Amino acid sequence: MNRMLLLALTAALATPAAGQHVRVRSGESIAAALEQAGPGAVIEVEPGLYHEALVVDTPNVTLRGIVRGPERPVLDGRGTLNDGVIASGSPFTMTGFAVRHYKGNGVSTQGVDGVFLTDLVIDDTGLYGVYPVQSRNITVTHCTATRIRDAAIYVGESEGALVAMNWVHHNVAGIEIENTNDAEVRDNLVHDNTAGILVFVLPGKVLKEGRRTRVHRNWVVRNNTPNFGDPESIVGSLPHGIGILLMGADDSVVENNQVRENASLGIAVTRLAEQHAKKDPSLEPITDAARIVANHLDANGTAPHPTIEKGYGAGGDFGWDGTGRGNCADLADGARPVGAPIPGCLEAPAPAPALSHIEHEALSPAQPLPAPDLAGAAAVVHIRGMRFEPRHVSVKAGETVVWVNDDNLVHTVTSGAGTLPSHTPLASPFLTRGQSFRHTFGEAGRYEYLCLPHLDQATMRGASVTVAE
Amino acid sequence: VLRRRLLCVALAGSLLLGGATGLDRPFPPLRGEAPTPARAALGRLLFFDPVLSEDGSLSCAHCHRPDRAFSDGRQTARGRGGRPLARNVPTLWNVAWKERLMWDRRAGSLEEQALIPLLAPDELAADPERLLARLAALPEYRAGFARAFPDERAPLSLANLTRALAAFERTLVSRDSRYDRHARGEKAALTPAERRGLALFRSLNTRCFECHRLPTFDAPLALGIGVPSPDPGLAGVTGEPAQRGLFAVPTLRNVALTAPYMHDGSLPTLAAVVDFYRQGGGRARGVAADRIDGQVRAFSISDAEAADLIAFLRALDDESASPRVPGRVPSGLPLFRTETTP
Repeated sequence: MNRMLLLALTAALATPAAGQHVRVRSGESIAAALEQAGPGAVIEVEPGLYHEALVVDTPNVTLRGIVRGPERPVLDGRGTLNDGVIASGSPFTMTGFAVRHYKGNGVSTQGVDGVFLTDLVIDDTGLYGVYPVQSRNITVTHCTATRIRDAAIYVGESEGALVAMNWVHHNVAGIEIENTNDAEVRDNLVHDNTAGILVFVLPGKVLKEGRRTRVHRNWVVRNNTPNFGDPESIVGSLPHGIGILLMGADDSVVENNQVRENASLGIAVTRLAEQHAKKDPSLEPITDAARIVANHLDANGTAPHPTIEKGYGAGGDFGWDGTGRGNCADLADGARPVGAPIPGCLEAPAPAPALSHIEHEALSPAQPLPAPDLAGAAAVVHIRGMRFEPRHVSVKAGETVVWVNDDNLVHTVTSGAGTLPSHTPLASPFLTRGQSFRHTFGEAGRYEYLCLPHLDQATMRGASVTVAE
Repeated sequence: VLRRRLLCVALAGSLLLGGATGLDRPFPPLRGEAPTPARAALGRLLFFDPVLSEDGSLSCAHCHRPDRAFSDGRQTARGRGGRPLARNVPTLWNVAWKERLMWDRRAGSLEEQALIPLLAPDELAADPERLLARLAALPEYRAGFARAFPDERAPLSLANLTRALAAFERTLVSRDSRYDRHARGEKAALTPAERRGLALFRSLNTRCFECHRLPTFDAPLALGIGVPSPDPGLAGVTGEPAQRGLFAVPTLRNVALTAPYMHDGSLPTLAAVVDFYRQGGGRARGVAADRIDGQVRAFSISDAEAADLIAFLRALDDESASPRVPGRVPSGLPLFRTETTP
């Protein structure tokens, strides 16, 4: 019996170990490392050129490019390979790579729960740059995407997405949220695309709706590049000069964006065209309950595309086609609206304020907080007022730390140095007010961590747990 | 002894299996009534028995042949008297998960679907009253219906006949292909060419995966790909002209066994299908772009890549749950013969 046990153990050890770290050096193959990777594997890749197409079907794999100043690993399809990365394992993390010259797409996740794409530099990867589809709990932050023929950052048929702090320029569409619920698009710099930010519901998809997208604090500037997409596709047929376009999606909020110098329309609210809508009888193609508030609109619509001029009479800062219920816009005195006159949001308040997936639960008023489970905790860290308190704690190996979110905002506890998340060993879910997260530290060391939605705030990164023997 | 066996299994398992991958998706729950053994057994006899047709010449199995992956190998179906019908015979593998049935998605359940060919004048052409009388005259069916629907006072009914047929069809489950073993983490279940083909299938260049979705390899949608054809498709059901030429997305499970392809059987091989999509679907054949779904675009892959893609599609073959074909049926009528194709 003991011998059998030993054999089984040996066999278990011979299979790829969970949580292993693998280093890939320039001239070696990332695909070969992935072939050996078990769940939890972290593949660290040295700067260099990698002519590879990667498939990641193993759960919980991290592809971490090592960035040294201007040097980083480059996935280069040389115009012959189809996709940089296709991932189906949940969760999937990728940071620190450049991805360029693929025929179809840069990085795609298909059916993944937990997508973390951070600090990717994507250029000329065909139709799309990053393409999470049929996925959940998506984070795309600090990525750069350029020269993409459809949408540079696309999220489709998904639930829960944070697209933040990305720089997208010289694409056909900068950011596209399509048939997706509870997306938050914020703090992105979106310029010189054909169209900046699209929130769409399109036919022919299994998920038929797109609700509660919140577009806020983005810079959406000068999106006047002539359309270089496929003229027979919906995105490829968009007129240039559009900042933010809501089409068919419901309960969207567009708030506090800087929208400037887009030659056709700064912000547009319109229904999905009838010829597309009629193909899918179960689709609701009208944009309802959009709330456009507190945006800074300036110098949009000065040289409108002929399609816009024909449809709206002129270019402008804001345009509405007059369809849908509960749409409203508060426009500053100097703003130039075109198309149908839209009610202000004060005189016609939207049925319910549509908040982002990570905020609407947290902001529900005056609910008594559940008492967090602090049993067995050697240290408790409260997250309050955008700070980890205390910021640094010390425990012994084998002891447990509990984090409690006291804020009216959603936070995470995520391993990572500086602004670079790494997700191991700390990878909490989104924590709403009153929720807690616990982790027992097995090994001595110093564990730095951050909050994913707020890693742009100095107080929400660089916190640590020091574990003594 | 049991523990020792478990250890052996664990040992063998850890050597052969790498653990489930992200491709290992749960199938959705079966749609409709779960099949009971008595109903599936009754349904099997009815499925193969020409007694269902008015003239005793046709059974379900004449078109949905078990030796042809429950299709018939012909371009379009043959109805009563061998007359060609309009559409290609779809496979019955995995119909248990279909939201709607028929190329134009007009049937909302397997039970509802069964009535369509049963009553169509150019197919089985059954008259319900005379059919029930024929079944009632056969003791095996009287007993079979009573066993299958034990709580009912008059179990032999048209509704119960369709329920029995549907119960049998829901046992036609294909989900143990070499692809499925790959998805469960079995190393070496797929060849390198098949794995390359699987990556192509999931590429944003080909976009196959967007409509043929894991794990069923279909989608509850009617879409236009532009096969040139006078068939109105979904528009024939809804009357909406914009829906002309939209057809159900078929499953790709066992697809290599069900040539020819498309609603009209106009593409003879998988190679022809891949070429059709490479050229952007019906665009290359003069079909207007607004009849073709936005995700069907011309794409460029090498001939070697096309071969890999086809190799992958063949790895979706799995007929391990094939039912036993009865040696005889209660009516004593001759079964379909396998040598009469096409």
